[in-house]
Amino acid sequence: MGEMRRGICPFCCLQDGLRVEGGEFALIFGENSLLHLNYESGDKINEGSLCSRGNSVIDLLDHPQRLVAPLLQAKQADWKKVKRVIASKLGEGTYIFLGPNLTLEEAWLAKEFSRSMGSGGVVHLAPEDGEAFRVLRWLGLIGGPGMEEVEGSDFILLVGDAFMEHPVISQRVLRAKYRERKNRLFVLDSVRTKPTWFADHHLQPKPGTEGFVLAGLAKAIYRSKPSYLAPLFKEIELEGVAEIAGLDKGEIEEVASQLASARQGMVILSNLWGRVGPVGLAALFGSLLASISGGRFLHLPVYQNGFGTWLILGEGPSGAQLLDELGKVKGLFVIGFDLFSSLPGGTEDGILKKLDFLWATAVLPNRTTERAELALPAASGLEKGGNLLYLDGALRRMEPVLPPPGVAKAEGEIFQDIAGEGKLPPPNEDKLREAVKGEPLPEREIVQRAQALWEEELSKAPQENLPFWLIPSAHPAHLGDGSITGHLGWARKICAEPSIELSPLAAEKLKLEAGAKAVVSSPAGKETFTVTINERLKEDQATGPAHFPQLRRLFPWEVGRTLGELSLRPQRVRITKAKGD
Amino acid sequence: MEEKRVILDLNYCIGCQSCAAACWQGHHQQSRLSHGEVSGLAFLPLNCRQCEEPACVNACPTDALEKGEDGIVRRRALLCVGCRSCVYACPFGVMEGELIQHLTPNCDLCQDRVSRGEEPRCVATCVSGALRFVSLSEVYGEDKGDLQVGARVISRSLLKRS
Ligand code: SF4
Ligand code: SF4
Ligand code: SF4
Repeated sequence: MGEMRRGICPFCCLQDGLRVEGGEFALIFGENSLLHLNYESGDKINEGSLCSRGNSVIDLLDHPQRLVAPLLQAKQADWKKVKRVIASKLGEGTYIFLGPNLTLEEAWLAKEFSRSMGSGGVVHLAPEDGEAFRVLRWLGLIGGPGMEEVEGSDFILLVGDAFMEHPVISQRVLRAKYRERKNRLFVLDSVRTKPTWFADHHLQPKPGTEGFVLAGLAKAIYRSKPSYLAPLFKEIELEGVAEIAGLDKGEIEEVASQLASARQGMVILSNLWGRVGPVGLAALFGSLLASISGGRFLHLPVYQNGFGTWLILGEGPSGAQLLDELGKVKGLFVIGFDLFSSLPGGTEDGILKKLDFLWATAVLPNRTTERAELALPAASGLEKGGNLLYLDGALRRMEPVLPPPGVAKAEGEIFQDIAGEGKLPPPNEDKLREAVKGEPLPEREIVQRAQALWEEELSKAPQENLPFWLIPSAHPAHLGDGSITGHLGWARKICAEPSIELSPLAAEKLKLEAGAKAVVSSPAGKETFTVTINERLKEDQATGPAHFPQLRRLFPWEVGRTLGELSLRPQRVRITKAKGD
Repeated sequence: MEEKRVILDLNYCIGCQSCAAACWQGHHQQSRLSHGEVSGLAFLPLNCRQCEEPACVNACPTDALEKGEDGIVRRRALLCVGCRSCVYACPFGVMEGELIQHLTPNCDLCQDRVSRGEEPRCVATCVSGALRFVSLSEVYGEDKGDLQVGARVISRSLLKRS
């Protein structure tokens, strides 16, 4: 029998447990003779289940493209030299840009590192979740329900496509649905998706209006409690919401009353690249809806520890705001994520032109490391220890399965080494717990901010009237911007290139068949995709996996006024047949 | 030990292909589990039934496929010429059409794992609980007439109700 280590899947917020086993020695290699993955049926979170991403984590450990040594101007360098370069340049006007793939300790050390090096500060970019994080922090909602509570619900309202974004949640949601005949699963999504197969009712609003519908649902059942919310709900009109969303007012009222009469209702929000529209609005009214109806609210962020790292940084300016004011920024040190694959249209060249230097750490090469003067090899999520913030607000401890390859290091260690021995002591768990604890803002302030957000979103100009809605979709083999999963074997086998999905009717009108090339243009850009046909789409809907920069570039750069985070929503686009196709 | 089979509960499957990913990952990048689109609406794994009278075994011109005493259909890799006769013969379309190293892979119910007391990969990983590894008596009712899944009984005959 070989050795066994327990790990945690780094590929989404569910933090599913897994095992990595060392091989048994055998003369002929059998299926289990080399390093392999196994299922941790004893893990209370996932009971062994892993989605296709979870099944692929093992690829990270021995991936042939791993960054295993520092690269200075594309030439191999040693850590000593790297240290000198960083220490000589990091200072005023330079910023540390934190990715969502870090442990709480690492986020803490990033802050301390920035302080000790005198850099401008640490910022964070979470395109799909930043707005929601801010709102949840206003409300002091750090911990949501755990998996057992999901399973114990008798009414679940699923907002977005949680089944493709976080497949393992389906087990709990479906068990809740089937536990008793009267239990209900409702889905709020502009597109017919996998969860809608199972739904007892599908609320299908216009693309990007999910947040408004949640506001309408909350309004429909808000009577007078809690009283501090009265001024907010006074501003919201059910008729107006129904019109924005293209739904019947009676349907909204009926759904709301069913949720209100549930014994244990739950609202689950899952968002990908603005798929549900302004996600701050959806998080605000999703959580208010849950609390008014006596239920629970569960937000499923894209990344494993996105909320945790965000909370450790505290409420400073966002990465999006920083990029908006690039004039002041001299250099960026990007930690553990692919900045350039994550951004909406037309930003990459602008950023590069304004910077004196760009450095990046990463597990696998990506668009950012390719453009960086300094690319540093980092440890993958299976190769480092530390704490993560779990969905229920508790800390979850992770142990490394293997040491990182070559001279790669966990980012926390990189900070400690550069700062110098003993300069950055790691925080203990009490300090971390304190740092991620959430106190709600005073009630008056919550209402003021919520009103400002509502007014801002209501006033957003309608988009140019192009014929199609481009709605970002999730592919279960990919995570976030796809910069890591795009290297994994299974994802390459089943989703190597972005495609655009059209309804059969739209495809026929455009004279496009499956496999043909289509040009998709939005005010932000123009890209060519291969067409696939999706019978579940409406005629004016087009969807495409948001895990590819080609798709992300079609979305405009916009930073919200009230929340100061990247603001994304489905886009109006034109689709034509590609020339020569 | 009683024979066991992998069954799919349609009430749960979300069509995420995690089962196929697990099979692929565990078998040197060869998935023995394909997925099929059902009327453009559902997308489901097509698990090998390990049929009582397997059409694939009958179709194989080189006798590479055989049904063992444990009921499992196995391929003897050295005899397989990759002619795809089994792929075409299978009434359920479970054999993947893709030819890998001249061998069309087929499901052996993960005997390497089952012999150690573990569940097959696709079952262990299934995100929704749709795939289960159950004994034949749990699959068929006493009289082998009714298909049972958990507490539900799905009758094979439309006119019969248990
Ligand atoms: S749902 Fe998939 S990506 Fe998320 S933690 Fe589980 S196995 Fe990993
Ligand atoms: S893993 Fe389970 S839910 Fe997903 S496709 Fe396979 S059987 Fe269906
Ligand atoms: S039982 Fe094993 S070999 Fe058969 S489909 Fe499932 S994972 Fe593949």
